[in-house]
Amino acid sequence: MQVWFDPGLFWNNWAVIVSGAEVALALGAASVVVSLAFGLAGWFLKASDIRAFRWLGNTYVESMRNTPTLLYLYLIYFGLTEFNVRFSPFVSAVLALGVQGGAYMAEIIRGAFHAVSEDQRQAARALGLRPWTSLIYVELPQMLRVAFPALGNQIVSLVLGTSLASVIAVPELTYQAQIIGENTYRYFSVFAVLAIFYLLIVQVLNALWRAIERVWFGRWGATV
Amino acid sequence: MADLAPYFGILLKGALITLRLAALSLLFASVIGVVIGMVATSRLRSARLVATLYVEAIRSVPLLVQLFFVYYALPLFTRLSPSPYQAATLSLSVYGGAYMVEAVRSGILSVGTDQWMAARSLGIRYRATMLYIVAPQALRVTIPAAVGIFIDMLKGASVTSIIGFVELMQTAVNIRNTIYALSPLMAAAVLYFVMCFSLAKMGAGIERLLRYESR
Repeated sequence: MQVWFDPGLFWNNWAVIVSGAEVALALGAASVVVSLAFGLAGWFLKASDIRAFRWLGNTYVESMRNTPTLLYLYLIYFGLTEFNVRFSPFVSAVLALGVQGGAYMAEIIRGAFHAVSEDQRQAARALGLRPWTSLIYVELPQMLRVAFPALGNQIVSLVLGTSLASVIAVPELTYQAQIIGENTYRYFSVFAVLAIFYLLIVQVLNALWRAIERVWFGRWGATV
Repeated sequence: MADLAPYFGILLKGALITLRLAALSLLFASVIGVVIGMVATSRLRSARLVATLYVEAIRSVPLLVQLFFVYYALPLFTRLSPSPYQAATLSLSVYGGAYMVEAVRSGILSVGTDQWMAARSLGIRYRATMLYIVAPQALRVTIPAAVGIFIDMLKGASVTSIIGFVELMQTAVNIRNTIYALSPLMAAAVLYFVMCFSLAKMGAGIERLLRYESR
């Protein structure tokens, strides 16, 4: 008779599981940073006055949003070897998640930009602020407030996406769980604990994000 | 690219398998969505809590982990031992179902309570109100959202290749391992793009069609 849930398994592999969680969080954090950079770049391209740049930005966003993440993991990790470019599994995963996440970030930023009213831009211009100065001091702070909940969702989906990095052997949470499962055949215990880990990480992230929003924006939180 | 020519047929077949998996899962997800979506708008707090727990639990765990759970852990404590295809369909349905619940819930909530009260004062019961008054209006919100969910499921179907289900992604990887070139993955990318992009355009069209102002 198989033991359903084996806590011993959990305590014996505690160190490995924690290191897996650390790698997953590091991967998530790195891909958030990369995707923000790509998102800003994508948005600048999409919002450009030059038609070719606009086309490039739209192509980037649409092609990323309509293809699966797994494809980018394979393309970057296996595909680039054809051009003698080799990245470590971790760097490949950061690039894959970051480049694809960037397309979603670009859309979030674009949405936030349109949510900030045109009056604000005109007022800034009338006061003599240049477009760039107005963007940084007037529009971006308001855009951040508008985009804050969507940014939180995007971060969560990037963190969940890190589980896919297990296919290219990044030693994150899912990968470690798989190894423990294969060694012990206690798949129920292993994957139940794994699911609880992700659940906790996501719920803590959500709560943290809401708390930051409350503290930072206060009663302006839900306003445009 | 020339190496790829003999494999176009099986790549297309892979795309069709992906479509079939996503479509079947969408069907099950819609059933889950409608049933749990009505629970989520119930007056009973405990019923709403159950729906919230389902949605939050599924949305906070990666699809891959759910897939592993169904494929590897389920056979250990039930009599079920699903094939990769069955495991893929089951997990994708439950996964999509959670998003569908939200789509149905926001659809039902988009119909104001005044309509419920008007129906109530005309003596129309819950079931008839839901079926003839609320549902047709809720669909305006739910259907465009469902198209988005279908696209996500189509992309999510690629994850099922990890438990050994041979769909578009796995087909492309297999071809790559035969001819050692980037082209199969690029071809898969094009196929995914064509499927998802045309669906997204279709969804936008439906959304325009269902908007109040357009009529």
